[in-house]
Amino acid sequence: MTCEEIRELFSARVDGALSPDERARLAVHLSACAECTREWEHFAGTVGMVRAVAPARAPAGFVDRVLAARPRPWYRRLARSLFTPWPVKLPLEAAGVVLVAGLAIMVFQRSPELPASGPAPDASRRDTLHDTAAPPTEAPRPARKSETTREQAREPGARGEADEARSNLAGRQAAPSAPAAVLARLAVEDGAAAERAVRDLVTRAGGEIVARSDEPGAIVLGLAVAGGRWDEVRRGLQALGALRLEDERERSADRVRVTLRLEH
Amino acid sequence: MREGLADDASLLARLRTGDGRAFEELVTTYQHRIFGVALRMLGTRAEAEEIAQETFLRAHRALGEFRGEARLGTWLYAIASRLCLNRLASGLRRHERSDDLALAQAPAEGTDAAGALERGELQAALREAVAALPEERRIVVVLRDLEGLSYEEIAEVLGVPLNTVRTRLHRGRLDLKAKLERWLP
Repeated sequence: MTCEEIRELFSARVDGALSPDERARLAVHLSACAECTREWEHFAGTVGMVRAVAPARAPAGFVDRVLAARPRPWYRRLARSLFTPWPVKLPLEAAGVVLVAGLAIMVFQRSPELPASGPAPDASRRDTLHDTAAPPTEAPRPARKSETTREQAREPGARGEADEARSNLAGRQAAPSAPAAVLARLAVEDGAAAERAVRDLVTRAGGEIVARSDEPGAIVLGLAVAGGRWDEVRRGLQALGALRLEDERERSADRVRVTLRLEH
Repeated sequence: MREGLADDASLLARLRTGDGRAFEELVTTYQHRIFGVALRMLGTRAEAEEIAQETFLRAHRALGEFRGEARLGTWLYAIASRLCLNRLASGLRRHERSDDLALAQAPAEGTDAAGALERGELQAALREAVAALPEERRIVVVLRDLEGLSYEEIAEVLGVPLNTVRTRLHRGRLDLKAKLERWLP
C-alpha cells in the first residue's frame, strides 16, 4: 500500500473501524515509514484534542423555557382565545357583535311599523302628525269604521275624533302592507273654509281626518285615504288652491297617509 | 451516543399519550446534547438556544408522525442538524459569531498561569478550527467526535450514505490537523 492509501485508513483506525487485515497492514507500514508515523501521531492527537473538549451545557432554565413555549392542547388554546383579555379574545367580541346585529335585524324585520316610522317626534310638527297615525296596536274593527266616518262628517272638530280615527286606522294598519305617506302644502286664502272643504273632500273619498293641529299661519291636517282614491283627493285639493307635494312615496299602497298644511 | 436511552420505547409511548412529564423528561435528557450540536455548528449561545428550543418544539409537534424506527436521540439530532444547516445556508444569521465559548473549556490539567494561558489559546484555536470547517464536514465531526454518534447513526441523522460519512469525517479531521499542527508535539 502507498503512503496515501495508508493515511486514508487513519480515521477508521481512530474509530476502531478497521478490519484485522487492514489493521495489520497499517501497523506494518507505520513501522517502516517515519513520515506516515508522524502523520498518524498528529492525526490521532488532533482527534484526541477535539474529543477532550468538555460537553456543552444548555443554559439554566432551558427546560422551563421549552415547556413554556410548548403549544397547549386545543381546548386550552380555545379557552384562552375566548377568555383572556383583548386582543386575544377578539374572536369572541366579534361573535358578540355579529350576534347582536343579527338579533337587531331580526327584530326590525318582524316589526312592520319600524321600517315605516319617521324621524323623532320633535323633529318637526309635520312629522309628529305624520307619526300619530302610524302605530298599529289593535286588531281590525271594521264595524266601527263607518260609525267613525259618519261622526266625523257630522262633527268635524269634535274632541276625541282624532283618537278614534287613529285607533281605527291602527287596526287596519295591522294589514301586511304599511300605508304610504304624502307630505303636501296647500296655499289657501281662508283656512277655515279650506279645512271644511278638505274634510268634505276626504269624506267623499271614503277617507278620514286622523289628526289636526294649528300652527301660526297654517292648519295641519292628517288625512288617511284609500290608495285607489288618492288621485281623486289630490285633484280636489288642487282645485282648492296651489298644492305642492313635497314627499310622495308608494302611491300604490293600500292606504295613503297625508300630512296637509293649509297655509293661509 | 454517549448515553443510551434504555427506555426509549416506554418514553415514546408516554409521549404519545400526551404525558407532559414525559416531554419534560425528553427535554431534560437531551437538552445538553442538542444545545451542544447547535452551539458548535452556529457558534453563539443565543442562536444555539433558539435552535435547540425549536428542535424540541418541532419534535413535540411531530410526535404523532415519529414511527419509532430510529432512536429518540437520533431523531432529535436529525431535527437539530437540519435546523442548523438550514440556518447556515439561509444567510439569515441573527447573531454573528461572538466571543462565546463555542467549545467549552477542556478539563484542567494544571493550575499554573502559563498553562492556563496556553489552554485558553488552545481552546481558541480549537474553536476557530472547528468553525472554519465546511458545514457538511463540521456537522459530521461534531456528531462523531463531540457527540459520540456511530457512523451508522450519523448517516441516519443526516440522511446520507455511510461512505459519505466516512469521507466527510476523514476530510474534516485532516482540516483540523492542518490548523492545529502547532499544538501537536
